Amino acid sequence: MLATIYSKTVKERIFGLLISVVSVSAMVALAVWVYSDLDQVIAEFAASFPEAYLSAMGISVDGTGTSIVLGEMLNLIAPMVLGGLAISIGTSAIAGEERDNTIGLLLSNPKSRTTVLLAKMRAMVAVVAVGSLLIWLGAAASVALVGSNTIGLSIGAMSVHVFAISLFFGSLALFIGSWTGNSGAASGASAGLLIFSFLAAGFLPLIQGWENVAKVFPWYYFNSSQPLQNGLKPGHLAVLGGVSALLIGGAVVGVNRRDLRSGGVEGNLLDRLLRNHPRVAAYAEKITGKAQVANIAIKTLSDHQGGGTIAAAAIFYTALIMGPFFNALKGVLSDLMSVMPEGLLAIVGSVDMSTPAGWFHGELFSMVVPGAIGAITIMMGARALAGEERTQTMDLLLVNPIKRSRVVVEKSVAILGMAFLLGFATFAGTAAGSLLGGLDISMLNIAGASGQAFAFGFFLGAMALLGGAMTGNAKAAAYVGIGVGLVGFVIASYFPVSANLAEWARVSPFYYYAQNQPLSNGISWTNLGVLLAAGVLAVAASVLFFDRRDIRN
Amino acid sequence: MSNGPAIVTRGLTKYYGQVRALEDLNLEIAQGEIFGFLGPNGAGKTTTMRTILDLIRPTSGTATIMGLDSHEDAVEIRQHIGYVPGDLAMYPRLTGRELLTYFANLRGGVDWSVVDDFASRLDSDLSRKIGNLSSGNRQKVGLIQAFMNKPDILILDEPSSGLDPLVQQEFQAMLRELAAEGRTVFLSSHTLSEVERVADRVAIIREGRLAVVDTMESLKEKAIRKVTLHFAGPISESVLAGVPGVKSVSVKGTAATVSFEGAMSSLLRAATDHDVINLTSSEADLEEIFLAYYRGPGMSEVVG
Repeated sequence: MLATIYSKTVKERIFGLLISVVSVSAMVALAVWVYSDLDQVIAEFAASFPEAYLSAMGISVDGTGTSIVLGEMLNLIAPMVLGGLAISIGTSAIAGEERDNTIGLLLSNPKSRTTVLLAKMRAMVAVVAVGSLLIWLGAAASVALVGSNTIGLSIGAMSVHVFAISLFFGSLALFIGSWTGNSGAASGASAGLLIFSFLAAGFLPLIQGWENVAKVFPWYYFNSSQPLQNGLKPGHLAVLGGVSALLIGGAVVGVNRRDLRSGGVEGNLLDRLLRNHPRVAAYAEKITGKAQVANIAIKTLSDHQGGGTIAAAAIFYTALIMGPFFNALKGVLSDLMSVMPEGLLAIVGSVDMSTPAGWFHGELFSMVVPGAIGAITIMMGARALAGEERTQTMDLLLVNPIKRSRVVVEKSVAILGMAFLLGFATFAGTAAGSLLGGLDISMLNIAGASGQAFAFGFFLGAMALLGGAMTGNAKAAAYVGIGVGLVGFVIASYFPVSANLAEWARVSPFYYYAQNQPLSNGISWTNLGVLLAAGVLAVAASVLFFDRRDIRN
Repeated sequence: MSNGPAIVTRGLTKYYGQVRALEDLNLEIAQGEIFGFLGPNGAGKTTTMRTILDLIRPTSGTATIMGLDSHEDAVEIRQHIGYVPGDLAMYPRLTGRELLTYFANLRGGVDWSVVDDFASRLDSDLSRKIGNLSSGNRQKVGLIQAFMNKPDILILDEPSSGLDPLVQQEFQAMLRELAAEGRTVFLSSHTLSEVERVADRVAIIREGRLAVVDTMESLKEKAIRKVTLHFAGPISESVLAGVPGVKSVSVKGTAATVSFEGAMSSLLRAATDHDVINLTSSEADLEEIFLAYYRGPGMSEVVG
C-alpha cells in the first residue's frame, strides 16, 4: 500500500517533471549559447558593478556571460519551476485528494493518515530531487557543449540549494493543505510566498537598515550565500531543511486533527480564512462577490473575481511602492548605470534604471505585471473549456440551445475583460506610485504600457484557451500558456543580445509587450495590435478545434 | 419539428480508436413514449445518449431528434431537450437557484413557477450551494434543471441514482405526467423495477450492440416462467422433458419444477395425463429477463 501510494504519486508527476526539466534545460542551453559570445565583454565590466546589485542578481564577482545567465536561470527560473512542481505535489497530497473526493477511498485502506501523508511526502522529495539532479546535469552539459568558462561556478551546489528551496515550498503547501483541506489555499498561499519572498530577498538588502529583514524570507537562505559562486552553505541548507521538516511534522498533526472533507464545494482562501469569520465575512463577500450568472462571459468573470481582485491589488500596491522605492535607491541606481556599458545594458533590457520610467519598466513591467496578469488569464484560459470538461460540467452547459462557438467566444470575452481590469489596475497603481514618489512619468505613457500589458495578458489567456480547445486537457492547456510565456520571455531577453538572433526576438510575445519600452517612449499601436490580433486568431482557432472534437467525459 | 418519431438512430457507430463503443445501433422512439434503455456497465448507453446530444460525434451513422439532424441542427434540438448526465456534475460554488438561473438565461428564460413546483415536489432546497449538498440532493437539482423548460424530449442517464425511495416515487410520477402530455422520455437506468414501472418499451444493449427492443408485455410473455406441478405420486423427468417449450425439469419426490417458455397448453396436456394435485406458476420476473440478456452466451441464443 505504502509503495503503491508512493509510486502512484511519482508516476503521476513524471510528465510534469519532464516538462519542467526539459523547459529549464532548454532555456539554460539557449541562454548559455547566446551569452557565451559576450564572455570577454562582460568580464571587463562586471567587477565595477555595485556589490548589492551583483548580489541581488546572483552574479559572480568574476562575472562572465555564462555566470550571469546561470545566475539568472538557476537563481530564478529553476526554483520557480521546481518549486511550482513541489507546491503542486504538496497541494495534491491531502487537499487535492479531498477536492477530488478520493480521500475517503484512499483512507478506507488499512493505513493511517500519517502513513499516507508521509508516503506522498517521500514521493515529493524524490521528484524534486530527481528534478534538481536533471537540471544540474542539463546545465552542466549546456556549459560543456558551448565550452564556456565555468571556473568558479558550482552548478552542483546551486542545484542542491534549488532542491532545498523547492522542498520548502512543497512542504509549506503540504502543511497548509493538511490543516485546511483546501487546495486553493495551499497552492495560492505557497506560490504567493514563493514570489513575494523572491522579491523581498532581492530588494530588502538594497535598502539601508532593512538588510536583516530579508532573513525572515526563505529565499534569503536559498541564494544570499551565492552558492553558484561559493558552493554549498550548510547553515542555510539546514535552515531550509529544518523548517521543511517542521512543516511536514505540522502537516502530520494537521491531517490527524480535523475532519476530512469529501469533495463538494471547496471554498477559496477567502472562504476559509475570511468568509467563515463573522467579523470579516461581509468584506470577503465584497471581494469575491455574489455569483453572477447572467451569461457565460459574466459567470466566467465572476468565477475568477477572487483571484482577479487579489492579483489587481497585488499589482496596484507593488506599483504604488515603486515610487518611494525609486527615491530611496536613486543614488545606487545612478552609480550602477554610470558604469554600465551600452552592450551590457542591452543584456538587462536596455533600460536606464536611474530614470523613473526605466526603474518602473525594469522592476515592475518586466516581470511582475506580465507574470501576475498572465497567471490569471492563463488560468482562465485553461479552465474555460478544458476545465469544464475536467469537472464534467461541459455536458450540462452544451445541452443548452447554444453553439459551441458561443461558449468559446464568451469565455474569451471574459479573459479579455479580466486582462483589461488587471491592465487598469496596473495603470492606476503605476500612476499613483509615480505621483506618490513625485516622479515625472507621462500618464499617457503609463496608459500605453498598461494597455500593452492588457493585450499581452489577453494573448496568453487565448493561447491557454487554444490549448484547451485542442486537447480538452486543462493541464496541457495551462502548459501551453505558461510555455509560450516562459519561452517568449527567454527569447525576448536573450535573442536581442546576439546580432545573429536579434531579429528572431520578434517571434516572442514579450517583444510586442515591452520592446518599445512604452513607459519611456509611449504606446506602440503596432505592438498592441499584433498581440490583440494574435489573441483573436487563437480564439478563432479555438472555435475550429472545439467545434470538431468530442467533449471529454 | 416533425410529427414522426421523437428519436431515430440509423447505423449509429462509435469507436474510440480501436475500441468499439457502439456498433450499428438502430433505434426508433415514438413521441409520448417512455423508452427504457438497459445494459450492463460499459455497454454503450451513455455513449448513445452523448452521441444523440452531439456531445460526441459518431464514427458512422446518424441520429435525428424530431426529424432534425443531431449535429447540423443541434442548437434547435436543444430547445426541446432536457438532459441529466449519468455522472452529474454541477458548479459547486453556485446555489441551486443560481445554477438554474444560469441555464434559464442560456435558454432565454423559464417559467419559475414550474421550477418552484418541481423543487417542492422533490423537496429540494435551492438556496444551498451545490457543493454543500448530498449526492441525492444534488441529483434533485439536476432533475429540476432537466424538467424546468418542460422539454419535449427528456434524455435521462441514471436519473434516480442517490434518490431515496419517496423521491424516486415522485420522480416516476413526474415522468408519467410528462408522457401523458405527449412528451418523450429516453431513460437509462440500472433500477430495473423503476424501468418496469414506467417504461412502455425497453431496449437492451450489450457490448455496443442492440440485443432486443420490445414492449414490457411482450418481453414478459416471451420470458421463461417457473411452473411447479405437484403429483399424487412420484413422476419421471422424461414425462415433461420432451414437451415443447420446456427448457428444464427438476423432480423432487412428487413435485416437478419446470422452466417453461410460451403457451402452457402443451405442458398442461402432458401433466394432466398424470394425477396432478396442485400447480403453481410465478409471473416472469423482469429482472431475470434482463439478466438473461445481460449475461447470455450470445445474443442470437437469448433473443431467439
